[in-house]
This record gives sequence, C-alpha cells and structure tokens, in this order.
Amino acid sequence: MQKRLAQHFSGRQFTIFWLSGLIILSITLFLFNLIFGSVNIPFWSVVKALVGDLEINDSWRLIVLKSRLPQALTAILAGAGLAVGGLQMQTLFRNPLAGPSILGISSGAGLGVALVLLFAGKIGGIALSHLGWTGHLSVALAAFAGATLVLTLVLFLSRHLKDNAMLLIVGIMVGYAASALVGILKFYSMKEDVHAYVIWGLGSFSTVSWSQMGVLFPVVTIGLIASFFLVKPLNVMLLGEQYAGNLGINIKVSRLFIILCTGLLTATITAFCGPIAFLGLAVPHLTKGLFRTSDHKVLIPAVILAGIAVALFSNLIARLPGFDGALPINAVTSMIGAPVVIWVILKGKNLRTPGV
Amino acid sequence: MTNDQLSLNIEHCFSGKATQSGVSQKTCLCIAYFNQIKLSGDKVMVMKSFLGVVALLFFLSACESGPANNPVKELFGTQQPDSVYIPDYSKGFSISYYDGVKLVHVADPWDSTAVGQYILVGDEDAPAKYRNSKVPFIEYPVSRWTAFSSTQVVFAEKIGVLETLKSVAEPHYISNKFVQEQLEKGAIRDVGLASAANVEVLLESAPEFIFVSPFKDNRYGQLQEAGLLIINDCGYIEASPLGRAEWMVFFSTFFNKEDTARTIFSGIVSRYRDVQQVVANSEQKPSILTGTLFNDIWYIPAGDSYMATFFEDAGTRYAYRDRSGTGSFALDFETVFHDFRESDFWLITVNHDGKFSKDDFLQMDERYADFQSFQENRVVFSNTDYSMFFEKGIVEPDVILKDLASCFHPGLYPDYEPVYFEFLND
Repeated sequence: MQKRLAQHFSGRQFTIFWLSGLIILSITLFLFNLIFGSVNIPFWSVVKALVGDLEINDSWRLIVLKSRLPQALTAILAGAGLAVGGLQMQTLFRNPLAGPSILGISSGAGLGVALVLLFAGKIGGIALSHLGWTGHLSVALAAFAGATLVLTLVLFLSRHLKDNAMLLIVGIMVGYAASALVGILKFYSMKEDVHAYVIWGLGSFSTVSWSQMGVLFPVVTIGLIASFFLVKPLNVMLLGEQYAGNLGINIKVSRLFIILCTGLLTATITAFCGPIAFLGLAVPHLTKGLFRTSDHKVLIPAVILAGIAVALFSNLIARLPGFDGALPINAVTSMIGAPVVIWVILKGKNLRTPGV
Repeated sequence: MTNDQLSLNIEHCFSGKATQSGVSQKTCLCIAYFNQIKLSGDKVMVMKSFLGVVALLFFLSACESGPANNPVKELFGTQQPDSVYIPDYSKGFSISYYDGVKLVHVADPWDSTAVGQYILVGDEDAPAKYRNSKVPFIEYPVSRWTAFSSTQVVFAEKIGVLETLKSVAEPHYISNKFVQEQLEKGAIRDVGLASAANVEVLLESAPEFIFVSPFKDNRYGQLQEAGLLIINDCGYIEASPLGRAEWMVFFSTFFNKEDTARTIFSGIVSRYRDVQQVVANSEQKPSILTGTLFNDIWYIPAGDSYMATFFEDAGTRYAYRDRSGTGSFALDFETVFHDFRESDFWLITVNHDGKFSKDDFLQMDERYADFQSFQENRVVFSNTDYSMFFEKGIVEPDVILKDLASCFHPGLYPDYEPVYFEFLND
C-alpha cells in the first residue's frame, strides 16, 4: 500500500495523508472510548451527557463525565507522552530497543511506590492497601519522587559521561538496583500490599480523577510542546554526536534537554498510570514504518497521534463491551503491540538503527 | 556439612533405594542439599546433626510408605466409629470418635475429590497401634503448639488454651494482650511470615503441631520436610459466617475441649438465629452496596459468599445475591456505580489510623460522593485499625449480625451500640 500511495503522492502529500488519517482515527477512537464500556449507554445519551444536558439518566451522565472522559483523556496524554519519550530515546541512543523507561525512570517510580505501599506498611504494622491508598495521590507523589530521583541521578551522570552508550548502561543498572530494592520490600511485605503493588505495576488509565488531571494535563502538555523545540537537535543527533558537534549543536545541552523532556513525561505518566509497557517502544517503530522518514519535524507530531490512537485502542480493548471487569492495560498494549511491531519489521525492512 | 558427609547422605539414599521400593531418590538428594545450604558454618553444629537426623528419619519414613495405600483404611478397616461429629454449617471437616482415639478429617479445600488430611488425636492411654501408624498422632494435653493465623489465637482464647501457644507467625495481626506480652518476653516466638516461616526458630520452639491457613501453592513443604506436623485450618474458606465459627470445634478437638467449643458455638448459633428472627419481622428491606475500589478494580462479594450471607441474614437486598460463587467479582467503577448508585446503605472496612472521616473517604476516590448512600449519610464502616473485625469477627458472627441489623434497621435495636461498625457522619 505504501508503494502504491507513493506513486500518487509527493513526499509532502504522503505525510499529510497519513497525518490526517491518524487524526481521524484518534477522534473516532476517542468517541468509541466514550460510547463503549461495561455499562450499556446509548449513543445519544453520551452526547447529551457531554454537552451538559441534565435531562438524561443521572448515573449515565456521571459515568460518562466522571469515569469515561477522564479515562480517555488519560489514555490520550499517556499515549502521546510515552510515544514521544520513546522516539527521543531511540534517537538519542541510536538504538531501536530504547524506550522511555530505558533511563531507569520507571524503575525509580516503582521503587517510590514500593516504599509507600510496602515499606510504610512494614513500619506501621498494617496493610496500607486497606487504607485505600492505592488510588490515592500519595502513590502518585511517591512514584514521581522516585522517578525524579533517578532522573536527577541520570542527568548528573550524563554531564560526566561522554558516551551515550555509557548512559544507557547506567540507566539500565539503576533500573536493576531499584528492582532489587523493590524485591526485598516485596519479600517482607503483607499479601495485600504486594497485591496492591502488583496491580499498580500492571498499569491503568482509570485511576486519574479530575483533580489529579489538573496535574497530569499541564505537565504532559508542557512536555509535548517542549518536544517540538527539540526537533533540530534530534535531527542532528541522527548523524552521530561528532557530526552534530561539528554542525554547531551543543551536544551536552541538547542531551540534557532531551533527557529532561523524556524524564518529565515518563515520570509524570508513570506516577499516575503505573509503568505502561511497550507503547513508548512500539509506537515510534509503527510511525516510522508508516511515514518512512527520519525527519523529526514529521515524526514528532506523527508519533504523538499514533501514540494517542494506540493508547485509546488498547483502552477500548481493555474494557470490551459486554465484559464486566477490565483487563490490565499493560497486557493489552503488549499483546497488540508485539505482533504489530513484528509485522512492521517483516513488511518494511526499514527498521535498522534510526537514521542509518 | 562437608562433602564427605554429603556423599554419605546420598549413599544412604541409594542403599535405601536398593532395599525398599517407592522411595524418591530425588527427595533424598534434596534433603542432603538442603542441609548443606542451611547449615554451613560451625556455630550450628548441634542443629546440623539434628537436622541430619530429621532428614534421615524423613527419608526412612518415606522409604517405608512404599506404594500408595490408604493408611486410615489399614488402621480401622471396616470398624465403625462410635459417633461422628459432622458440622451443621461448616463443610471442610469431620470428627470420628473411635474407642480410645479420635480421627479428624480435613477436606482438601480446593479439590473435593482429593483424600484430604487425616489426624489422630488421643490421650496417653491411646493404643500403640494408633501411635505408630502412618497417620499423624497428637496426644493431649498439648503442651506446645504454633498458630500461623490470628484467628487461631482467638479460638484458643475462647476455649482457654492460650498458655500452651509457643510460637506464632505474623504477630502484628494479633492484638491479644497476653500473646503480645509473651512475645516481648520471648516465651512465644515469632517465626516471621506464614508463607516463609523461619524453620530454625520453629524447630527450636518444637511445636507438637502447627495450625496453618493453606496456600494453594504448598508453601509448607519445607516445614513438613523438617518433620513438623502441619494442620490445615481451612475455616477462612467457608462461605457462611456460622460455618467459619464452627471451625472452633475442629480446633478444640486437638486440645480435647470439644465440649467447651460446642457449648460456645451453640450459644453463637442461637443468638444468631434470634437476630434473624427479629430482622424477619422488619417490614423494610434496604438495598446494600459493599467494598471500595482497589486501584481501579472493585472487588465485590459473589452471591454465596461470606458477606452476601450476612447481608441476606441481616434482612437486606444485595443486588448480586443471585450471581453464584463464593469468592468475589472484579468489576470496574462504572458497572458498580450503575448497579449500586441508589443503594440505601454502603458497608466498608477500612484500616485507618485514628478517626475515619468523610474527607478521608473521598480522598480514596472523589467519585464516592456521587453515591446516594454517601450523600444521605448511610455509609457504615468498620475501622479494622481498632475494630478487630477480621480477627475476632470469626468467633462473633452473632455480634456482627446484630451490628448490621441495628445499622440497617434503625428501629429494631434502639439502644444498641454496634461493636464493630459505625456510621460515617463527619
């Protein structure tokens, strides 16, 4: 299909075609997210609820406004943010296996949550999960604190490490260390707390309430806007650091900003949604397969839209209509993502190291 | 343990295998290996040889058991018991009384077709054939035993056998003052987590038996290999409140205190029935919601579960009463919100340090404010930080039921002050 399209379109039209396609897809999926859920709500009632018509069934109105809408918005923010983070990391490290969690930020967030859920319970001698702390802001705060801690460490090290590959290794090592600490905490914790932690680790778009949205929305928006300002350094990074240096780009400063941007996005999203697997790794590959370009001027908006679409689609699958419970979001993203990425690799054969 | 000793152990195993059929060579190797791992270092010399003996004994007994045949049948043949205690409400156990010995049977909690566990209980006059059989034998009066769950401590307190408790697991769940004092003195030992108990402390504490709540994946294999007698206390799996309390009779059998337990239990039953009768006269049948979101999942009891039975007996309408199952359903917010938004009452358990307020509740999830029961101040909660609902509730289903009845039918017990529950008013 790509080849056939390429015959009819110029490069620019080709890009616009796919971008508008993704926009339409995202909007459709957003609406589907509002319409479908475990409770059957007719289409027009959903619309009425959205426009603020008070005449409809009160439960339905509250379900749409307080459950489905924040959830769909969270999926949009998380999908966009993680995908951009993944793209930036893949470019920065020139490694197709990099993702937003590669810097150890997710592990840091996990450690923060483990400290709150598992360790605090150990001191008080009570199972904290009974406190209802699992959906509580304190968990998000702890995750954010843990993620920021790791991020600071990585930033600090990045000033001293010349090589990006070193940074990659440091990020992974930090991740291992954090996981080990979590393991120790888990071992000595009560069943309920471990269960709470495991569930947090499965990720979820539905724990963000409107008051938490007040934090998530602005931070992710800032991160996304910032990524547009990083287009130039990212493009130059593709050439390799030495070329980039020759072209007058301050490598260290650019690297700092790229890490900061990804770190901010990942830390915030992980804090509220838990570690969402795979989106950040898979979406950039999908996008590159579609757009066949390595220009970040195109890739960044494209990755944002594709991230939104994939996250909304996963969320839709996770709460399939007629199914009472919900699947953990991580199971869905990975289950959809893995085959798709393999398909793209087999089909496109253009998935080498980015920029090469 | 040196390598020589290790190979010696293995040699024993092989020679054992040569003479006896049905022994698992792997098990022996495992034990030898286990000994080596656990006991490197000189400080634990005594322990080392002791464990070695235990391992050897275990291995010998394993050798003896040979091909699988039912040891209970072998012991009793066609002999009929003088009497049998089949519980009225519990499903998981039975006690057969033979001349001079009691045979306690615990059903496998997950597989009803499995044989389950048999234990013999008798006094010092019990005939030798029972003592030396392959079925574990417990002699009362018991002088040392171990509790892995706080409910067993509550049972023990009720029938008055707490002084013989010598070690416990997870003591932070136990609020009994006597036990806490003894723990501080060291007279009762803390063996750590139930799922990963400290074998050395347990062996030193030398209990005649250990009451455990069984895990689906057998976490007690190591303890059994160390020669400890594990008794499955499956009370928590019972679906009915009275069924759970009746496990007190099972528990008391090992201490020869069935009479005490049965008297207490029949008191519980009659008080429970009294409340049911009073409730039956009430004209109102309020609807009820229970539970809260756990992350983004709302675990809500199935129709035949422990809580659903309480709701039925307390004269309330529980919307999922017809959905069969003894466990719970994992639902999302919108399903529960849709089905229970207009419920009259909302029952929750929280573990909150200090006074639990509406603000605390809404901090858990602000959407709780949209439930009618919340808006009309009809949220009933038990703060397990001090209410001991999970710990003591098991032996007081009558009190819990009366609490619930008085909360859900305000006119029935006008002067009654609920023990476990209170209304969320501020």
